[in-house]
Amino acid sequence: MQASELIEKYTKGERQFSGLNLANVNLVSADLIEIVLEEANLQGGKLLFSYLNRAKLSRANLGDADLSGASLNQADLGSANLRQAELHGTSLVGTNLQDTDFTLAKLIDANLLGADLRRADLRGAILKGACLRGANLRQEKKNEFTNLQGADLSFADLRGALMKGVNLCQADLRGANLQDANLTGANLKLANLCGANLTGAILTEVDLTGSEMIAANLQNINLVRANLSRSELTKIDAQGALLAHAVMTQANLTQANLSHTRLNHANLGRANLSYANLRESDLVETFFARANLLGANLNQANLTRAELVGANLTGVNFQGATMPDGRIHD
Amino acid sequence: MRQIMIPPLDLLTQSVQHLEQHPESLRIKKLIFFLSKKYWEKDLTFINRFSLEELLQELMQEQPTLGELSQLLNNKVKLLSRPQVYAPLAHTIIEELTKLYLRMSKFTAQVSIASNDDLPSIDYFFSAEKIDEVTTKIANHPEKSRISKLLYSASLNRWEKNPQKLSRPELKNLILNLYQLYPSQQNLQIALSKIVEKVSKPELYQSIAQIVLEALIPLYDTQSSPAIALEMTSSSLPYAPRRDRPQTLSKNEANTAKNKKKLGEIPKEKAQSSRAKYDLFELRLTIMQYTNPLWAKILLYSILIQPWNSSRQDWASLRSHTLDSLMEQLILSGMRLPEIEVNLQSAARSLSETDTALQAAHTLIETIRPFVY
Repeated sequence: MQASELIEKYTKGERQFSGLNLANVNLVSADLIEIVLEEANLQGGKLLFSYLNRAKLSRANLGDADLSGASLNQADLGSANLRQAELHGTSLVGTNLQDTDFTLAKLIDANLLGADLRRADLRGAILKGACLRGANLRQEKKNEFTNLQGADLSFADLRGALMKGVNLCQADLRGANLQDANLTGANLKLANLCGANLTGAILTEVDLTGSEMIAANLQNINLVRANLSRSELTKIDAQGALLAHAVMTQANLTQANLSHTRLNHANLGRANLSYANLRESDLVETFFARANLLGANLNQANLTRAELVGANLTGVNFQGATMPDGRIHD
Repeated sequence: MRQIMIPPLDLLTQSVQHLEQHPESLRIKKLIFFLSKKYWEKDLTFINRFSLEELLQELMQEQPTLGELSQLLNNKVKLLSRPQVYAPLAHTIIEELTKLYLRMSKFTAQVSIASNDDLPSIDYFFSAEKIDEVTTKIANHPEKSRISKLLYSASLNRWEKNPQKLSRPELKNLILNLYQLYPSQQNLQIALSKIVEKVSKPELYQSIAQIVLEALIPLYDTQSSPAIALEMTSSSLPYAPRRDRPQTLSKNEANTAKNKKKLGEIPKEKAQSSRAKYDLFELRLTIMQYTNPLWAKILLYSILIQPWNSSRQDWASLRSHTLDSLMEQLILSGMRLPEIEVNLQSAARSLSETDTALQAAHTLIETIRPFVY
């Protein structure tokens, strides 16, 4: 079917166009609100600035299609194919994107406010500057998770997003805003979070092995039982963070602000904590074997039963700290 | 925006041919796809939609130095389910790329700045005069030698012991390369800080890094970086590493650095040029809630960069900007509200969908009203 025929039928009130072959169709700026195109083939279609609000596009093939600036608010794109599609500045507010394939799609500055992205495949997708505030990416079943492996989410707005169990391995999250987001159990191996804002975010049991978080804001973050081994955490601000039972072996925490944190039972073996600020932190039974604490501030910290043997304690300020043996340091 | 070390095609073709002739060429391509796209693709038909050339080019843009690339390869191979199969292939790739980088370094050494004219998307932001200005500043600086060492290290990932031999065109090339590698001042600052931490005289090189950052300001000045904005506008987003402790400098450097800005500090005149403080995430959210983000971007692009004519180049350039960076650029442009209103409305009227564009213009004006005069 040609674009003109489709538009003519649509204008006359017809809405059902499911299963049609519309490969490479040109529907630039077309008004097709509430159209039904389930399982249609729109591969390579030009749909720039089209109005597809509330459209039914489940299982449609939109691979390589250009949907830049299109409005797909409240549409249904469940299980659709959007591989390598162009979605620059596309509006997808409250859109159903469950099981949608967005592999290598470009979603720069896309609006995904409150979108449902459960189990969506976004591997290698570009979501730079995209707004995913309050979006749902939550894992519900084991082995069924939203996949953002290697995705570019730099400067994305992910405030309050539900991201439990998401795969963000190697993702670029530089400068992203993840305030109050829930990332429980997420895979953030080798992710780049430099300069990201994670204040108040929940990251219990996440895997952040080998990640980079230079100068990130982690105030009041929950990283209980998280794995941060070999992470680059220079100059992070983690004031008030919950880090109990976290594994931070060989992590670089140079000049990190860890004041008022709870690091009870954390493993900081061979970590570099030089010039870190651990003022008034809870370090009960924390493991510091061979850690470098050169010039660190442990003023009024609680080190009860902490393991400090083999740690470099040159220039450490222990004033008012409770030492491993329970004695208060002068 | 990272236009980095893209090898000339004939140099790349040699490497591609060698890799394609390898008995395990399929696995090599899979591995290179994994590195450049950052996920493991099982579908070979899909992988074959990309040529080995473009995958390699993409990879080299991301990992401009051989050291970084080798490290990445070695690390990533360990993530695979069959590292024993892929480790020898990783070795083959590194070998081939070593030859390529060697050929490239010979090539870049011969290329003068003039031949870099065809690098797209950075030409909006600085002219040849600006590069000249920066080069002259560094060439005439009493600390030229140490500055050059730092430039070498940041740009080519090696410590040049005898930078005196550096000619002016080479210096220019280094500066351009540095700008391409680090598209924002913040990126550059972090890179320099990392080098400074490793050198034997960190305090001394701290102040040299400061000089480099200041010297390169003209290049970054016209393109306001979102990273800088974040630090300036929202205390909850300290992108730039903060200086918690005063940096001690060597005797000679202490005096020269005394009155200078700290790394990453925003020039006062810029910070004060807007009326109220703004949060880019909030601005973006407002725009997205009330208008089409793409029309908003097209309008901002039209008044800040060049009139929109929907050309392929316009689209490519628009994709290299984010809505945030364009908003920030507008606020820091010093344009007053009446002028912004006139410009945005006029830009909207010149676009095909005038009504939609005018609505977007209206939203933009209302959103930035509190932040401009």
